[in-house]
This record gives sequence, C-alpha cells and structure tokens, in this order.
Amino acid sequence: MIAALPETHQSTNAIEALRHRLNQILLGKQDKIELLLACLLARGHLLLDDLPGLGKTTLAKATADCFGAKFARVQCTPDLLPTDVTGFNLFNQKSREFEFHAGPVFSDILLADEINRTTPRTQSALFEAMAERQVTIDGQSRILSPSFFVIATQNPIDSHGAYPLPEAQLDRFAMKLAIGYPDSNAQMAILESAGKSRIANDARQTPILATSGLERLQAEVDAIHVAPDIQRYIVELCEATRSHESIVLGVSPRGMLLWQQVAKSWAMLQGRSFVIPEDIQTVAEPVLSVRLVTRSQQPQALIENIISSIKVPTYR
Amino acid sequence: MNVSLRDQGPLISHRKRFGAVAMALTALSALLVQLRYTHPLVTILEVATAGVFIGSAYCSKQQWKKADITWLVAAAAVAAIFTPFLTDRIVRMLGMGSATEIAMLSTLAWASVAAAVLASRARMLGVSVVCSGFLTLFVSCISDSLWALLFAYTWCVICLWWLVANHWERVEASKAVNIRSLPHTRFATLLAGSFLCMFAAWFASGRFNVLHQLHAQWMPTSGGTTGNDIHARAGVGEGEVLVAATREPHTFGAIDTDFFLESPEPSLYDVVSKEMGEPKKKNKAESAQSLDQKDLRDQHSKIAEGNRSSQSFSIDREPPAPSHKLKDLASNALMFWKGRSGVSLAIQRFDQFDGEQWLQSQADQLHTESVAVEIKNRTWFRYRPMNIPTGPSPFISSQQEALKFTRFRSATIPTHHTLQLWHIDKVDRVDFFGKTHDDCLFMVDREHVPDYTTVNFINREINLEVIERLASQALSANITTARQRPPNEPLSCQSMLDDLRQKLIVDLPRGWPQVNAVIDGFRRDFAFDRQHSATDANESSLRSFLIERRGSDYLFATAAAMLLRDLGYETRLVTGFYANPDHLDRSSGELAIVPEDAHAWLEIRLGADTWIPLEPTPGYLQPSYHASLWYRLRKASPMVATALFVGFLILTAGWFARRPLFDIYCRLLWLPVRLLDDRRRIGWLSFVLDQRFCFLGKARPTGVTPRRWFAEQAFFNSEDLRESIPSFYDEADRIYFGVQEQLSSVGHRNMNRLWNEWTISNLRRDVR
Repeated sequence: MIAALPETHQSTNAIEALRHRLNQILLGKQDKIELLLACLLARGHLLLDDLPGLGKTTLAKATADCFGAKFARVQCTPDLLPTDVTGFNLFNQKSREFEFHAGPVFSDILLADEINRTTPRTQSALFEAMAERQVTIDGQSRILSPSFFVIATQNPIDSHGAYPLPEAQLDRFAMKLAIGYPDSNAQMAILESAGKSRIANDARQTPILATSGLERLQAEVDAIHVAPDIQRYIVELCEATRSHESIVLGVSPRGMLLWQQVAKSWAMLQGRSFVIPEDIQTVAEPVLSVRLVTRSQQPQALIENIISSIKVPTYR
Repeated sequence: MNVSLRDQGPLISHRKRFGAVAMALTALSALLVQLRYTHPLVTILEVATAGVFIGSAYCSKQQWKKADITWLVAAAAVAAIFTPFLTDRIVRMLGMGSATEIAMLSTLAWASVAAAVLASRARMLGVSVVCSGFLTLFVSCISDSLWALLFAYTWCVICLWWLVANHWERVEASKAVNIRSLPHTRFATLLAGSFLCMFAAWFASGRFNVLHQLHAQWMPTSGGTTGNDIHARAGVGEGEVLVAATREPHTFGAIDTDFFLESPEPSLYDVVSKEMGEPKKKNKAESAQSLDQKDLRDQHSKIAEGNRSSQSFSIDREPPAPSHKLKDLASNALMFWKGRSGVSLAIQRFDQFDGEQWLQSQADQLHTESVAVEIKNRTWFRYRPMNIPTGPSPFISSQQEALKFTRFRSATIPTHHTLQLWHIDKVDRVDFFGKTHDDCLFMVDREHVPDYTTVNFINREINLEVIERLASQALSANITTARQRPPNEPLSCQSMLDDLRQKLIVDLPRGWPQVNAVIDGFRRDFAFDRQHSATDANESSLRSFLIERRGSDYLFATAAAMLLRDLGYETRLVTGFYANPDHLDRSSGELAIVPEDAHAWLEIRLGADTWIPLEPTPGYLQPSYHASLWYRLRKASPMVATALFVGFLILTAGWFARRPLFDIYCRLLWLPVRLLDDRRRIGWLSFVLDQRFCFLGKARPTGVTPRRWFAEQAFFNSEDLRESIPSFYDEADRIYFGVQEQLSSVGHRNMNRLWNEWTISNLRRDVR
C-alpha cells in the first residue's frame, strides 16, 4: 500500500475483507479477483470468458453473497425469451388489471450463465438494463437497482449452436476476464477443502458489506483524482487503437470512460487517491480485450503493442 | 492543484502529415529555385545534407518506436535546420556563398520541412504550414520571375485541400442552420459609427501636431520622396519643380534658394574634390624647408596643373566638408548602373607617385582608335588591340551591363576594368570614342557625355586561376622594372611601410598570396573614415594614415600600392565610382551612382597588358573572381581538412568522455536545479535518470514507466538506495498525478541521493 485513503479505514477494511473472502472461495486467482473488484467498484459489468468448470459461476455467486445482495441467475438457452429476463405484465382476471412480474434483471447481481447460448433477441434485452440500469416494458420504464451488476459467462470453445455476442453488446461490458486453470498448489488446496463442513459453507454466505456499503465504495471511486496528463494518455491510447492497422474496431468513447473508471477503482484498490500510468496499463488488457475487434491477431498482443508505442506520461 | 494541462493538439494522421510535407517542400522548392545559390552544387550539397538529417531522424523514429529517442530526433532536426548556415560557412571557405538572408530563409524552409516530417502533434504541423506559407508568399513577392507565382498557386491549392480535408466536418457542423435578419439595428449602428468617425476627424483636424506630421509623411507636399526631408520641410517651391531642378538645373530660370545656388553643374573634378576633400594649399615656408627651390617650383606647377586638368591626384587633402544632400537617390544621381553591384567604374588612372601626388606618366591626349563590330544588327565597339595577346585570357565569361547618364559632366565614360565591348543605341561612328593613355574610355571632342545617354557594355569576370598563374610567372620578371618612384624618394614613411610589409608578408611565396596578404591586412587592420583628419598637421597624409590606421580610401589605395611596389609589383591608382549596393532603386532595379560614390582603389599589373583591380578599403566589396569549384575546393582543402580533423578530434574525444562529461554536467546543473520548485526538480531528475540509463545502453522504452524500468534494469547494492527509489517515485507520483503540492523532507533527501549518487559511474556497477 503506497498511500492510504485519508478518510476511510472503514473502506479499506471492507475492501480487504472482500478480497479475503473471494480469495478463500476462488483459490490461487488473486489477480483475477482484484480485477473483478475493480470492475464491480467501477459500476461496470463483467464478462467471464473461459472453459467450463473453472469457477465462473462460483465466483459470481460468491460475489453476490459478499454483499447480501439480491442475486438472480439466468441460464441462457436458445429458447429463453426476453421477457424471461426483463419480466412481463400479466392480466389478473380477479383484479381486472395488469400486474408486473419482475424478471431476473430486478436484482442487485445478475448472473447470465452461458450468455452466448441464447438468441440475439434475448441478449439484446440486456442492452438497456446494462447501459441505463433501467428496462422499458410495455412502454413503461422501470428503474433497476443502483448497484446492478451483470456477470455474464461464456464458453469460448464449444461454439456449436452458440450466438456470438454482437460488438454493440460487448461494449457494454467493462471488462472480460479469463480465469484460467489454477496452479498445482491451488489445486491441492481445492481438493483439500472439498469435504469441509456445511457450517463453513454457511459462514461463506454471510454478507460482509451491505449494498449501501457497495454504493459508498463506488462513490469513493468517483472521487479518485485523474490528472490531465493521465487523461491525455488514455486518449492517445484510444486513438492508437482506432488507427491501428490490425484493429477493425477501436475503443469507443464509452469504452474510454469505462477504462478511466476501472483505472480509478484499481487505484483505490491499491490504496491511492489518484491514478498513475501503471493503473491504466494494468487494466488495459481486460478492458480492451472485450471491445477491440481485430483482424487476426490476439487482442493481448495488440494491446501490448499499442501500450509500448505510446509515450507514457512522465515527470516533465 | 498544481497540475498543468499540456495540450499539444491531437495526434496526426498520414493525410495531415502528407499535406504539410507537400506544402513545406513547395516552399523549399520556391526558395531554392527562385533565390538559388551561385552554384547548383551548393544547393545539392545543402539539400543532401539536410535531407539525410531529416530522413535519418524520421527513420529512427519509425524504427525504434519503443525507445525514448526524442533527443536524438530533436538533435537531427536542429542539425537539418541549421544546415544552410553550415553549408554557407563551407561555401564561404570556397570563396562563394550567398547573402545571410538567404541562409536565414533556407533555415526557415528546413524548419518547416522538419516540423512537417517529424511532428508528433497537430500543432507542430500547424507551425510548419504557417512557416511554409509565409516563405512561399514572401519568395513570390520578392522574386522577379513569373514562375514564382506558380509556387504560390501550388502552395495555395495544397493548403486549400489540406484545410478542407482536415476541417470540413467542423466547418459543416458550424454552418448556419437558419438566418434571421434583424431589424435595422445593424444599419443604424454602422451609420452612427460613420458619423462618429467623421465628427472625430473634423474635431481632431488641425488640433494636434502629430496629425500634421502624419499628414506630411503620408502625402509629401514639397519635393523629395521622403516626408521628413529637410529641404522638403524648408519649403522650396513646388515639389515637381524641385525634382526637375535636381535632375536638370540649367533647364529653368533662377530660383534664389540656397539649395540651387549650391548646385551648379558639377564637373568631375568638383565631384571628386567635394567628396574626398579639397587638396591642401601648401605653406611656402614648410615646402621650402623640405624641398629645394627647383623641386618646389616643379611641385607647385604640378599642383596647379593638376587642379586645372585633373591629371594629378593629391593624397594630401582636407577632410570633405559635411553637407546636407537630398536623400532622394534619383534626383542626386550622376548616373544609373544596371549590372552587378559592388563593382568599381574607373574614370582615371595614375601610375606615378611622388610622395604627395599621383601623376600620369603619359599626359598627352593620345587615344587609341576603336573598332566597330556588328552583332545582331547592332553596332558594338571595342578597342583596337595594341598587342596580340598570348597565353590564356585572364578574363572569362561575359555579361551585359549598362550605364545611363543623367548629369555627369565629363567626356570620360566610367568603365569596368574587364570592358570588352560597348554600344550606344543608334550610334555607329567609331570616331566618337577613344581610349586615353590610362586605359579609360572617353567621347572624343565632347564636353561631356550627353544626358540620358545609355551606354551598354559587355563586361567579363576575372579568372582567378589564370591571374594566379600570371602572378607567379610575371611578377618575378617585373621586380627590377617595377619601381617607378621618382628620384626624390624614399618616402618619409618608408620605415613604417617596411615594418608593415614584414608584418604582413612574413615568408609568403611571391605572387598572388603576397598580394592577397597585403590587401587583407589593410582591410583587416585599418579603418575607413573619409572625414578623418590627421591629428598632426605637419605629418604627411600617408604617414598619418599609417600611424593612426584610419583614413580615406585614396590613402588605403596609395599605401597598398606603395607597399606592393616595394615588393616588386607594378601598381597604379584608379579613381572612379563605386556601384554601391545600398543605392539600389528598387522600382527600376538600377543602382544610382551619386557623388558620394566617388572612390579610389588600385590596380596591379600582371603580364603585358593585364591590370587587375585590388580593393584594400574595408567597406567596399572586393572584385569578384571567377574560379571553378574544383579550384576553390583545392584552395580551401587545407582549411576544410583542418576544420574537419579538429572537429573529428573534438567529437571523438567527446564521445569517449561522454559519460564523465555528463556526470560533470549534472553536478554543475544541480546548483541551478536546486533553485527550482519541486515539480520542475522532479522533471529534471527524471530526465537526468533517463539520460544516464541511455548512456549505459538501457534507454527506457516509450511505453514503460520510469519506476518499472529502473526497478527491472538495476539492482541496488546500497540498502539506502534500494529504499529511496520507490519512495521517491511514490512522492513524485503524488505530486505529478495526485494532489500533493510539495516534496517532503524525505523526498528531498531521496532526490539529492538519486541526483548525486546514482551517477553513471556508480550505475555501471548496479545495472544488470
């Protein structure tokens, strides 16, 4: 920790507790958990893109448990309808009125499992919810929870019968993470913890922070300072993605804003009240890989290439 | 919050850069084509050198994108920008070169090209476009050629395309959607404003002196072309009458003003005497002491004769009286010269010097006949050659020049020493012209050259290679015959001349090097001052000149001639006029030759009939010599080789000692850096650390932060240093990217340690 936030031992403690809890659940993936927290505190949405059985759903559920938040899960299948996600109005014969039946989006944390299995029609039902934190049903807009957070998962290899997410929707995610296989020590620890008592599992479901606490942390992220030099650095990087010959679609202004926001929350997670160039570079890969459309190369290599070609702001 | 936004404009697309480079190259082409150097090879040399600098900077930038090589690119760009001055220096060593203004314009052109090619921000491109635009339009304005307009049009077309391509969206977005005409308020405002201005003008009229002056400057009312001319302000009748009078004083009746009474038709003798000073009247007693009666009589008769007929030229003269002359060149001009500036036009030559006066040895009015030559239906004249010339000609090439007479009161036609042919429109009579014994052209049986006569000349240039060869061959043969001093020598200042000769010549070989050394010595060590008068009236003018090292041009010429005669060279004094480059009439492109341009110089004899002019007076341009580039290179090669060798030695030594030198530089820099605020000090330290790692071959790549790079590249033997580096960077981050204002005391200590202890010599141990 380089510099503690002046006002908030409470915030620091809460973050430390969140970190500790999630690291207990998903072993050996401290860096991914750090990024997940950054995404959550930045009010972004997360796309977990990895093979089956690596703990994507577990991580999502554990995150919801940490906040005692209202958790909802949608198992995306080809026959899933938009109203299954957003909710619908049902005519009540008895009261002779339409009654609204809220869908899973009316929760604090929504897990959209295997999102690429459902049809584009249903995927797009999430558009408004993710971007505006509201849904419009039968001409009536309904506000979602202020801490509404979508964790979507997708399986990159089993593409038969899948509907790849359109670029417009990908841009609504703040970052994409691949959890990856744990190392051997972590795997040993997983095996060891498999037969633990139910009490321990219950303890894991105890909330650490109320949703209001999450909102307070998110407000603190907004107050993190970003110097003009850093903003210029972000702009230069974004412009470089747009003019790069191997990139078909660069970073949009919405993506740029999200990048700054994630960098701010990353800075807060590091205990700083301001963003430094390393923050931008650290969160670049997860933030950009979800929204860059490349010709052939892997986005990671291109992102490294772009970062290494733009002059980093220094003390001059 | 102490954070400044360094807004340097957006990044650059290829199209923007291409347009700016095209405009810069157009400007450069306009400059090089329209105001080209004397030799095309010089242009090629400059373009090649600057092109290599800019090209290598661009390639380095493209090749090593990751490395922080801004300083290298900047150094190459600066080198390219100053290439014109570098080229100019080299070319001047070769005896060529052009005006400094051209080098400055070239510098601007190369700055424009460098900015366009190497710019990383749009703002730099803007600077490049402004520079190229100014340059193109400036060159178009000052160039006489219509082709210059082509460059201006080309630049405008590219600029228009560039602006439209880059800013059309912005223009379109800001166009008016709806135009609503206001009621007549604008018209009323304009009307009221106009009335207000008219009232203010009426009110101010006649009340303020400054407005009178403005009025006079704006529209001169009484003569002269400058409003603050003293004669104009004195009120001498109508302006046009004054102008006409100064051109042709005898064409109208008397106007009893001082100005016209002072301006009778001036004879050539009057002009020279007025400008160089009247010959001194000799005190009889003084003369009697120094000369015997026979010599005194001789002397006096010569002076009297000389004053009458101008067949002698005394160097013992009073300083010229200061006079107020019209500043207007046109009305003051004796004649107009259309040709090379800085040339001297001879009207008289004197080959004998008696210690006080220059005399002509053959004073009879013998003249050589001229010969007519028909060239392109025009009759040109040339002298009938006295001897058939043998060997290579000391003159080369030819060019047409002309002299237009306005109020020149002499039959002698001032001519350049390389005169080959002359021509006057509709004159085909050979007997109109003659050549005096002193090689001057004159009009036979004429009181003076008729006013408004234009004489065309074909003049040549001196071939430096030939005259140098002639000098080495012929001068040795002249040693015994050259001394033409009368029997009453030695001069009173002979010992001084001997001293000067020994000092200037030392052990130079005979020939052109000695001549050059003498001329250069006078130009370097003596000052030209026509108003100067000797402090001791009893001293001879020449002696005073040699003591005080200051005097008029005839004294320069006399002293140089005497010194060269002592060395065995045959010399003679020439009087005439100097085509002063400052007297250019821009409207006609002609040089006005006014009485103040009366001048004296000397000629040296090389070969049988070849006299070469020499100009020992500083402030007057030396005669132009033509020589091939190869010859000039050969002559300048020792100097260029020495300069290159010394430069190479310095650069090599600097390269090997670069690390300790940089450490010393940093030590010295620390003193002023300590006085800066914390933010700037951190910036300087960051720069210095980057450079130190550069010197160790570990330049920080572009996208890597200093903290990460230094941590990866160096291991720290010292525990203290190991802790102080991250601590320092944490604080630097807080100041630069956070909201902290000042370094803490720990930060100051860390900074001090990093600056003074992490030197290159110490780092060599620590870098991986």
